Amino acid sequence: MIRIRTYRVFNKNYIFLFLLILAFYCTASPAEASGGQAEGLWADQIITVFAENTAELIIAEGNVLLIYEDYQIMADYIEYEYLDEVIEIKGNISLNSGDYQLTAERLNGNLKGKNFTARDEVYFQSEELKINSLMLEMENEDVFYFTGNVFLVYREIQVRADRLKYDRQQERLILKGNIKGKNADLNLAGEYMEIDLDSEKIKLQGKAELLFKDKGGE
Amino acid sequence: MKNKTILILTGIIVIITGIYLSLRYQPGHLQDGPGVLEEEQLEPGDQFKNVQLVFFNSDASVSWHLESGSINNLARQRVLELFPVNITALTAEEELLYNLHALNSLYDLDSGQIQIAGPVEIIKDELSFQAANISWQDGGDFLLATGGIYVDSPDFIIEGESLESDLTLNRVTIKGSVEKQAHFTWKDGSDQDKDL
Repeated sequence: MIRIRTYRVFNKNYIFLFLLILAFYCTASPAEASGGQAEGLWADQIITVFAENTAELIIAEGNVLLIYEDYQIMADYIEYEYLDEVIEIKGNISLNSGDYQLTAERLNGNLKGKNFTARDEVYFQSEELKINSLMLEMENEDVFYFTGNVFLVYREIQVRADRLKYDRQQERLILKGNIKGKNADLNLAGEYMEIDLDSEKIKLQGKAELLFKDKGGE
Repeated sequence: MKNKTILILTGIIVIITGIYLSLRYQPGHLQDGPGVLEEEQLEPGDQFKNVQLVFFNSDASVSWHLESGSINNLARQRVLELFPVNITALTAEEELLYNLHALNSLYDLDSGQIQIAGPVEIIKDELSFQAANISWQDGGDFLLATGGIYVDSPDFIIEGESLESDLTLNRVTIKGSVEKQAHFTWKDGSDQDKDL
């Protein structure tokens, strides 16, 4: 009897220890394996140019993933000047921030200062707001400037323009130059246009035209 | 009886002459010289203590000054085993580049290939490079490290599966594997933390 009892106690301890290790593994592994939340840079290869006691230049190539604060950036290539804090990203760029997504072919700027310029097939989306352009300049996450073949879609509004300023603090869009588009059944054109995203109020100036499609008049 | 004696003497003379001629006109690479010395050094059981060897890259801009407690040959192979290994890398101006420490290394006399077995640690200023193995071709300009690459600096950590670098360790490429990519991350609390 004593032997059997001892055997059972040993088994219980063993199982408990096993479950403890398993629980630790299950809780610890996902954070490390997924790379979902941990900050860092992942790539097929990372080239580091050292100077003094630190890195001067870091180049990440192939299936690159950079996670920094709210940014999750995927691309083919990321080059970072470590001391000057200048970043250059190329190829199939996908930037996900807390409240918007951005795709482009090239992006450069300062990650710490959050000032970027995106180029080539720029596509920006924040909930119902979708913008295409040739170039996007981002200043401190507050103001975004889209230039070149700007195409805006917001709910029932679809507008083309030369330039677009997106004030994210005031939730306001300002379009300039060769504006042409529609708001539901209303065709519109002009040189200057403001859209308040909260109230959806539209202000059109400069050779402004409004044309109701179904009524055939202004 | 007399003929028999003459025959024996003739045979002895022929044998002595043959031995003399074979020694006198043997191929050059078997004659006395450095090659013979190397062969003698590779006899089983040869061991040298506290040896220093110096290697250079292609343009002699970087030199490896290797110090080892012991050097053994490996059973008539033209391979030297050195253990433990301490390498001091210097520039042509004798400036220190880094120090390398490892458990042992194999030096192939024919190919000039040096295989350093780990754990290998390289200290370059405040940077530390760790790997399981490092290989370098004597006279070459690049080294290759494999197995659990870990680069530690005051500000960041880089991990990977293999490493390629010039001999100065100024430009280092760290590669991942199919299962695990190369990874760079900041150290918490470092001055450069989150600068990227």
